[in-house]
Amino acid sequence: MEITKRQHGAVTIIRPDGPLVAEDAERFAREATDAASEAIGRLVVDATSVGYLDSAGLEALLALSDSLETAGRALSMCGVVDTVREAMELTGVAARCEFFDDAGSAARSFL
Amino acid sequence: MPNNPHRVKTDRALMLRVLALPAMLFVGSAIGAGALLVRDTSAVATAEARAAGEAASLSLASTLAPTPSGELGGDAVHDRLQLWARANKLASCSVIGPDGDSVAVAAGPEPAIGAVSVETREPIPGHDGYQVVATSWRLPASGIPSYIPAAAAIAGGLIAAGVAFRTGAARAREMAIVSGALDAWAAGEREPEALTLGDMFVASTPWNDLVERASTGRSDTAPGADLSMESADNAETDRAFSALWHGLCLLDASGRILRANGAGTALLGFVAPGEVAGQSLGELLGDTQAMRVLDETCSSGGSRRRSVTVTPESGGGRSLVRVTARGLPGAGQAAAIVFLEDVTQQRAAESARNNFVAQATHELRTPLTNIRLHVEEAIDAGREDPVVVNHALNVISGESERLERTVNDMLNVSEIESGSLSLRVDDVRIDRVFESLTTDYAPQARERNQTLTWELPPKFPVIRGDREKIQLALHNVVGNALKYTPDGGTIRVRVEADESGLTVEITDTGMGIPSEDIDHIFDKFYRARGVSLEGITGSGLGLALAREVVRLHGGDITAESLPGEGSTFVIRIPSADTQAAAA
Repeated sequence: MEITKRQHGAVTIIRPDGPLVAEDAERFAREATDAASEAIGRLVVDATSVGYLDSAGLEALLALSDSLETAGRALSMCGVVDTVREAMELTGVAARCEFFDDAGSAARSFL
Repeated sequence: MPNNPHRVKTDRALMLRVLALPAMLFVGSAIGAGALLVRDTSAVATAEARAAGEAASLSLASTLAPTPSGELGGDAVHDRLQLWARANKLASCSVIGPDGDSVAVAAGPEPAIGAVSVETREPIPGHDGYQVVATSWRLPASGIPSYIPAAAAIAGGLIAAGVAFRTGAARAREMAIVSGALDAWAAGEREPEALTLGDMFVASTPWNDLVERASTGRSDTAPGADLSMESADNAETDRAFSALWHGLCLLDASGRILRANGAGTALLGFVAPGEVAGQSLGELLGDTQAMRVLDETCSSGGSRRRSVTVTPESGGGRSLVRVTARGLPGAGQAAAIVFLEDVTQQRAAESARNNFVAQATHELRTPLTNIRLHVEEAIDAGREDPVVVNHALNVISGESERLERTVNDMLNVSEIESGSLSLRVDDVRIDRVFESLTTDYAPQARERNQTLTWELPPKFPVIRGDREKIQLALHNVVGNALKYTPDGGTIRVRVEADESGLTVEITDTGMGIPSEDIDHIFDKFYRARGVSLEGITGSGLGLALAREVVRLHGGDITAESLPGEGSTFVIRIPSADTQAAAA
């Protein structure tokens, strides 16, 4: 799975390209946590290309959310497809995230 | 209050006192139960005595029946009664006349101590009003006299009542002493020596604990302190502080951190809030101006607000943090409260907006200036020089088109930025898009003697998307390739199509993009600078727009370039099937 990072102003947009499962999810959690720490929590997960996720993917999002909450932030996500959103709702992970349609709107939430 | 006299008593005395009442109640109950048992054996003896008495009376009455009434008081009858009493173990035996007086009486053996006696009466047949009265007795099986259990039960009860009274009186005395201590407290007494109670009281331990806590001023080390209301309030405040998205620090008079919340800790480059406690905030921020502001705030004691924006070393030195400090008036350990706000994104947005305004002004003013100049030129030339007028009108027309393009690009970009850009999604026949592109660019390439080649697949996939926007994106990228390739150069557009989607590769032999510019070519209004670019117009919005459109379709666009040799742009758009699978 390819993970790309880009800047939107001072906000880092991290975009995993593919389903968030197994080892890919762990790698994503590591990279995203590092990116969040580097940007002092100004991080947005662009999930446009995440078609589905498994328990490891949900755990990765929870771990990321935990580290952001410690810094007084919440996990911002954009472009979340219905399947992924539903899985997040069912497991209660969604309650800890902020959802946006696109990366621009998500980045503006840091203003 | 003086030292109280109960202090000399020991724990053992207290234990004995506490145990005495239940012990006595137990003994009393045991005695009472024994008495009930004994009463049961008396009942058996009574029944036996009654049965024996009734049998003896009946039999005596029947033997006396033949005797004439006048002889019932005679010696013969008396002797018979005497015999009968002895033989049947009757305490007494008599014949009573119709008027209730005894006509003959005889006594038998005396009842033993503790025996129960029963009197029975039997009428004498044939003698109206005459009856035999016999008093029979039996000793209960236990052999214990019947008054002993009753006396024991009464004694047990009295002892229990006595102990209960004594214990109650002692507790009442204790309560009086506690009440006295409370009165002393209310009167202003605070000396622990005077207020502490003896250790034999049940209530003395919590009371003494309270006295000790009050005298030492501690509130957090006692085992019960966590349950106190004050501590619960602190926990609530801590929770609220850690949920706050801005950093918050409390500083002491020397500028050292007493407490910091999670956001504040993160902004200072630490993870756990405890890590920053005791450190100097000014030093952590590493900014002399901040140090000065914090020193002033902590030492002045006033409640004036001071603010400074710093770049802390955390976050790679790329973040901007606004530090607002305010003194905390009144007595206490905390001298100042400091608010830390991450304003990096605000500054980035402000800078982008300023750049946008500057660039937009420039992009709009250049064609406007040209138009105004050529209008003036045409007016000056009038009808005398139609060639000049025609040239001016051509320039005005070209500049108007450029102005329109710029305004349209700006509108599109602003729609994308504001999130209001809506795609009119439909099945897009990509082959038709390319037909239009080849038709549009062929004359332009021919004019500049450029070789424009199209390598198109025999079959195109169907893309779900907005035909106009896709066409706009491809136009911008292909148009850029032609624009930045010198006359006589080559532009190759190669399209690969498979089930997963469409890949368009646009390669030119143009001037290329310097490596320091390649990361920014998709930014709005970004245009590389260089001598070779002079005379080439552009808004700097085309590639930004192209990338946003491609991304909205779930794809992406990348660029590679070697300065002086040319550039390659690759656009990837997923097919309708892939888009559906991803969604």
